[in-house]
Amino acid sequence: MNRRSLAAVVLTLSWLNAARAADARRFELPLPPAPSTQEAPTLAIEVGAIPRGTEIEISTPDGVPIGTVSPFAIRPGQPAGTYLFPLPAEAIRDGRVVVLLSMRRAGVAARAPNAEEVPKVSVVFLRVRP
Amino acid sequence: MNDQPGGRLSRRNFVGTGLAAIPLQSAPAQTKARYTRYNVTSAKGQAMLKSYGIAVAKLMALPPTDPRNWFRNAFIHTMDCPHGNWWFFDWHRGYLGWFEQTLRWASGDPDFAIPYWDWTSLPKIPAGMFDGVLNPSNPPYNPFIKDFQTFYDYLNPALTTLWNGLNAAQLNQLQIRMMPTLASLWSQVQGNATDGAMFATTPYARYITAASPDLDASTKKMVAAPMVASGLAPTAFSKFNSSQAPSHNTQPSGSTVFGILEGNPHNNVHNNIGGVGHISNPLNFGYMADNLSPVDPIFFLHHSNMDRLWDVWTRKQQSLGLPYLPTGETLATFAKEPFLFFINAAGQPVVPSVAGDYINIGSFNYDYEPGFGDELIGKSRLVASAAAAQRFTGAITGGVGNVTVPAAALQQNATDANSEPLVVQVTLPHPATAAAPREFDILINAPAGTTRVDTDSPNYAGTVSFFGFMHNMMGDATFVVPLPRGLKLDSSPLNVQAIPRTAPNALLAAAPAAAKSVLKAVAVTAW
Repeated sequence: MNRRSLAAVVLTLSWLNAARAADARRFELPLPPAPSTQEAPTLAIEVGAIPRGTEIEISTPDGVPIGTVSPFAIRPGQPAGTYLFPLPAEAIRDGRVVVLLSMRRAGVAARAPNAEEVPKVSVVFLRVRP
Repeated sequence: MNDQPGGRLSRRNFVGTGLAAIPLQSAPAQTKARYTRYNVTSAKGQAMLKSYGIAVAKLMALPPTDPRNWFRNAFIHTMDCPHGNWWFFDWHRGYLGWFEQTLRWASGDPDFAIPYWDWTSLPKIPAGMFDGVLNPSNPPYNPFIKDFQTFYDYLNPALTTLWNGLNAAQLNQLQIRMMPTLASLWSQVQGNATDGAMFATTPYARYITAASPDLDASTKKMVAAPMVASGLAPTAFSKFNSSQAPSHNTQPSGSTVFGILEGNPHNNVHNNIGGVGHISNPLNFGYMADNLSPVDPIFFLHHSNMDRLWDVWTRKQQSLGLPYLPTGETLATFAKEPFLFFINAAGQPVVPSVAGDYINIGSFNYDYEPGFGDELIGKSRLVASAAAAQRFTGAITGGVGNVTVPAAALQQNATDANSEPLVVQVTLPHPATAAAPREFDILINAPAGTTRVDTDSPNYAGTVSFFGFMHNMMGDATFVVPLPRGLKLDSSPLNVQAIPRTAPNALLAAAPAAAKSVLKAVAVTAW
């Protein structure tokens, strides 16, 4: 792929920064400085107890999907744990990380998670290079 | 156990007589194994699938008093599988390894090994996995799972005998698992309308059908190359895996941190096949959505791929000279964990059996036909994130950016073609009118006053374009272009310009005087 093609392909539609509907909760947090060039910034989504069959979709403010938390084999009523996702450049704006989280379940309208369902969103660093 | 010659360390030799013998951090040289787990899409993989079908049919026909019975084997997973802790990969290697020998026996194929489903390359259920006994929604399953009572009546006498014969250590592990009695196990299998069930009737046994074999869009994202590469990227065992826990039967909790491969592709594939996100009543989720998932034969192809990825990660670590096991005292903690429910091909309990037995493939004596991830082995760097490990933000003066990047990073970008490329993120104003320029040449370290360079110049990074003019679009747009590999390193900080083009297909040699950089923000990052 030549540079011109690449430049076109990786177009980031950041001007489409319209506010999303109320079916998502916006998290905005500072991007902490990397401890070293060997560490990759990673989005950590802590999930509380959520109904069976519920998934949490994570996207950038422009609607670019980042990932889906899909708890598996969690005992009823128990917190589902923390899930890690590579942090895309599109989620970083002016040194801040901005993501939208939405609860999805078949037959039920999508909605924003509350503070018990997603107690914390953070950026952690994973060592990925020797 | 079917130990084979061939130069591989057997697990018993590897572990030795005590845990003190474990700390081998550089694995033995790879030699050809006796068995190969093929990609299910290959000709040999498809041949293995035929043997697999023969084996599944035979194991379904065994009486439930035989521990090798297909459904009895699924209960090993229900009663013992770890999820959300650091024994996830290790336990499942043991589970598949022992059951593979049972399948080999049942298939009558002396070369049988479980094929793997590389969902990164094929994000849909493979051809052949909808045929006959390989699909739990097909009629051969009706005598066993047409309704819950049928299932219960079929299995409960044998499970009662099993339960009454459990030793104290096994019962203690089940207590940790919150399955203190057989009744509590059955209660979880049967489920309820709120929490769903592990059991599913034949029509609901698997959500994905032959007519629509694809994984859904969100699951495809979770199995795609960037996600799996990120899962393979961590350099520490503790980060590749999920959290350390007191017992492999400790259930996930608020403190659990899932490794990327377990939490994302593993979970999403399970749940998508089980109908999560598509079926409103959790009582109707398929087997793959919970811990009775080995009832669905796709389970073993899915976990064969998960095990393959662990093997890829292990070999990646070895190629980089990095540990592939827990380090220090944690290795002994990890290795001594007892796995008490495995059954061998003779239908006998595997005793003793501890986690340390499975940290290498050992005398299971299989290897993998290469699949996604193998190409990453030996590279000095894996792409772990679309964002950079570090991001260098520049200052803007009069539409021109200046960003300071460490000389070492620039040097590597210029000289090491295998390194992650550095890219420049440029933020530009959206065209104010339909007549305004929509294309911008990105120039790096161009001599002062230059507003045009040839496209083969090392100072030319690329041209970014707005797609048409949309009246409702507002605000700035950010584009990404690679930092030219051949860029001369005689200037720091980097000077970045975004020069509007005023004529199609022409750089701004004769640009009007107004042609000047319009950059609003700039940053350099690894990609």
